[in-house]
Amino acid sequence: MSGIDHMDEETIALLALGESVAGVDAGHLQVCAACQSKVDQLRAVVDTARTITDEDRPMSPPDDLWQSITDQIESDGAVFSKKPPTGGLRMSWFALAAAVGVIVGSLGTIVAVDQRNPAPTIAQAELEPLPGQQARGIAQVRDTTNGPVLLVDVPNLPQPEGYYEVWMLSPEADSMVSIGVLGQGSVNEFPLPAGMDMQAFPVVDISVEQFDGDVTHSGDSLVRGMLDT
Amino acid sequence: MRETGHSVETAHGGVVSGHSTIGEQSVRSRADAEITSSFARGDDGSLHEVYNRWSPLVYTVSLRSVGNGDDAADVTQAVFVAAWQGRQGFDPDAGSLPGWLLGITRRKVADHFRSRGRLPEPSAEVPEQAAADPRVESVIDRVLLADEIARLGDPQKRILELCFFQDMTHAQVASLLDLPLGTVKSHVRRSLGRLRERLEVDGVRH
Repeated sequence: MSGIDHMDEETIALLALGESVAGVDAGHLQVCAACQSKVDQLRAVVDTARTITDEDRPMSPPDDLWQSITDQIESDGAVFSKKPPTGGLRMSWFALAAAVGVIVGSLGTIVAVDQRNPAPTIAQAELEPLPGQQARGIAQVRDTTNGPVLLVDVPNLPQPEGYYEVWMLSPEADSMVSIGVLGQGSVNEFPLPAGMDMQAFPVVDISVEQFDGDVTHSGDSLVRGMLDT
Repeated sequence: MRETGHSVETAHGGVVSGHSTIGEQSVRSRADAEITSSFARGDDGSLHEVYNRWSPLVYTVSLRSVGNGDDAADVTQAVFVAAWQGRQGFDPDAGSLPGWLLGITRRKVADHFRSRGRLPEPSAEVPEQAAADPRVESVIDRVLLADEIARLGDPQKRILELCFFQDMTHAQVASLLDLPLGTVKSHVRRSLGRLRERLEVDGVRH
């Protein structure tokens, strides 16, 4: 096997796109079935992708179709629950907040919740533990009269070495907005920057940060979840 | 408000982007995995989650295959009714839930064509399993790829669209988007890998 210098994956990807790549040993593909096969596989993907039209983009079925489906299942005699499963205990603090009428933020902020007209939830995320972590919770974006706010509820967070910071990340987690420092209580509320594009930063993330003067994300995340708008 | 341009390294060493172990994809696949196991258990209400998550895929494949909205809605309804009634036949270890739903979609589209006399009934000579419709297979691949491209974040999505649909080279894309050449190359490699994987996981005929 020695002496075979396979193509790197980036070169293979560019060849699959049909680019000519400078400095590539074109003869290698003639003698190396493994690299040729990788190029062929990706090229098939590229060729198909280039035939995509606007009509191929997934679109939702008509609004009343779900009702027709449940009607048909029930008419066959099945006992059937149409409602999606609820989040159980994890949702309970919202019910509690609605009952009490206020949400007491950890930093002493009190958010009045008008029980007759609660701020509508416009997006929600289940915050799931990253590998090796235990904590989980939920995040909601609510549309208040003062603009959108992010509510974060992560019970039973361990005492950090440092502090917790809340972020909103791009889907690829390669750009992000700092939302604020998580306080002591379970439920925290953060105003979202006016004009922020939530679609661009849909992933809610909580990281452990050190008092090291470095404003960037530590890379040490506990929980994360994508907002479902 | 501040934005930083680097990827997030996790404490466990994975880089949070593209094809890595931790990141948006796993956030998404974890949500998908939860819906899948809830459905496999036959949980009350799990079909609604499945419908919310995958009905656009099923409906669009149906629409592109049968050609009009009313018939596509009928096919989609048949798929989700059959999925619920046949849920015990779903084996999460044997394949993905969207892949399984698309398998039902293939059969319901064939039923639709058959009911209009445009496909022969399955027979001993031509069993249904062998009768792949190349047009439907190509629709499935295109819809899955369109879906996966739509799910790429930017700049990955923009980069691929420029490479695919504007026939730009990666060097032209890098210059247009003012990104380092190496960044564009690595996004292209990871994104193409994601597309290939999506076809392998959800598009394969069982």
